[in-house]
Amino acid sequence: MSFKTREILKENVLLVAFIIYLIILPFAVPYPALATEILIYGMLALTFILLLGYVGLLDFGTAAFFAIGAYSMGLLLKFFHIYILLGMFISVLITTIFALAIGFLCLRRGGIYFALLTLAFNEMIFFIIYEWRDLTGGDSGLHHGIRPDLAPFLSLQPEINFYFFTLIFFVAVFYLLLRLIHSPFGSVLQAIRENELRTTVLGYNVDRFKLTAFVLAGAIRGLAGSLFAMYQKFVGIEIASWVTSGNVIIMSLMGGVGSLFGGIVGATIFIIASDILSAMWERWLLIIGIVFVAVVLFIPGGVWAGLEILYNKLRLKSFVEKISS
Amino acid sequence: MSLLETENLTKNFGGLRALDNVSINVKKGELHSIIGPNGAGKTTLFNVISGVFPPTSGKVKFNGKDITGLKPYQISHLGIGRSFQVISIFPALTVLENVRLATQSRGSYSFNLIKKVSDLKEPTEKAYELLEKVGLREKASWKAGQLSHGEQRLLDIAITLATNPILLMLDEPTSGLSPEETTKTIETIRELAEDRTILLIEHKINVVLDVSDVITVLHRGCVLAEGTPEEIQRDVEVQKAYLGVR
Repeated sequence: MSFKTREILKENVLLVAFIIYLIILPFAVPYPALATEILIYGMLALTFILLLGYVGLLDFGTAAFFAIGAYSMGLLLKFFHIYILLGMFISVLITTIFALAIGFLCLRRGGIYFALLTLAFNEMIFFIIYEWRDLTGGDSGLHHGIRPDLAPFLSLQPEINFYFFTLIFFVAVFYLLLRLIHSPFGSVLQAIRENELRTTVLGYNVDRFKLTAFVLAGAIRGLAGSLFAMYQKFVGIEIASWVTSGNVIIMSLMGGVGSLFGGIVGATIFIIASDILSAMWERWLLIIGIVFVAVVLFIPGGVWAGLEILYNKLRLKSFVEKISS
Repeated sequence: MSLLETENLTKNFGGLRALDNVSINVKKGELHSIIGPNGAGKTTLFNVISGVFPPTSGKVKFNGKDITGLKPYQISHLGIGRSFQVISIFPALTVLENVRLATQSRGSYSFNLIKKVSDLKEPTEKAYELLEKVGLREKASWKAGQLSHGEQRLLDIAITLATNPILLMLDEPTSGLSPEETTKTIETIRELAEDRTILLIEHKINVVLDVSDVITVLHRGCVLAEGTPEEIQRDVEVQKAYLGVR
């Protein structure tokens, strides 16, 4: 089997395994709603991985856009009882506009300055939500209690239904990002990560590329937020907090920022662990912290990279056995 | 006919005057070298011309057009290509991808989010051609970071050539190369000089005297002398400051 054929087969096997995983997930976890949460946070992790793993931008502001999407959807549901898909579309649009404005301001600087600016804007959004009590409910949250029907006979109330509804969007986002990474646009993003100066000297308007990636990430986060608003039937202010941004960073690093699959791996581990562990021990975050440090120290590429290393070792082992037999 | 002109370029970094009223004139088809001791301002001059940072005062003109203060990516599209003193490649990307990034920068490919980059026929073919030219064709699928130092230099040159520049600015292209590699690189530069204008920064004096049409000597940010290799060799000031008084 030629190298190229093997690569294509490997890719397809991976995708098939991934699809199977996504289909059995709601049945494999303690309760289906948890699987929905994994998908939503998985989407956030994917955006973080896009920006850090592929463009080289460290972003502390995931929560801000997640919250803008969620609150937009929550308010649209509460005051207008809006049709679900229209509401999601508008929420994404609103989040995208914010991402354009905030991205433009943050990207004026690179590196650590960019990271801190995103954190600053994240906090700003948090405080706007906190202070604008009349609109958002402040720290009590937005209790809209609505999870609308997709169509007259398609209720999303059963958790398993809502999971598959969310799955459609997750798969769409994943596929879009996968295509993007392998596209000319994606190769320029990676070039920016590798050597920004050279990329600009080659004739690429690097600022525009970075802003586009940032806005795309923002849009996806808004989408995740709108789904979350319906998942919980409530929007709490904690989703706008830097802690939420931090959780996304932890799960992405644990899963591995080198690959999109790392996002889903990280989200799965983090969400399941936090659900199971928090019931067992109130200091469960300590365990998460230890696991996180261990992964970063010993498998810097994250769990996904670790799985790849394991896979290669096993293949090498079977190859060696084959040729020596 | 003048291709590139700088008029009284001055660049200050805080209190440090890196360029002091530098005016040079590069004629079309010329191989023009810039020499001078370390810290003379050669790379700063390159940086200002290619738009990496703007001058404090003065102008840069390309083909008669004022390009002072334009961004590097805009200047690239005008036909100016540049390489760096320290090898500047994309280590985690493959050798092919390194060059293809340059070939695909011309044309409207870049904001295409849907196509597979490996499906871009023309840029990919051109990239393979360039790799063939510098002898890196077999290593096309290697990660650029895995190449040897000399090979990375060749890759760097291939990337610079890939945008097909009219004016090629090379910053110490033989730095870190063995004598054999140096000779090979000089041959390549000579070939390129046949249909391109070249602005070269070099430390190896014998190379510069051998290959240049015109030499400009910079010293502490000022133009010390300018002329043909013979004129420069005879110039007393240059001998004192740079070549060492005999």
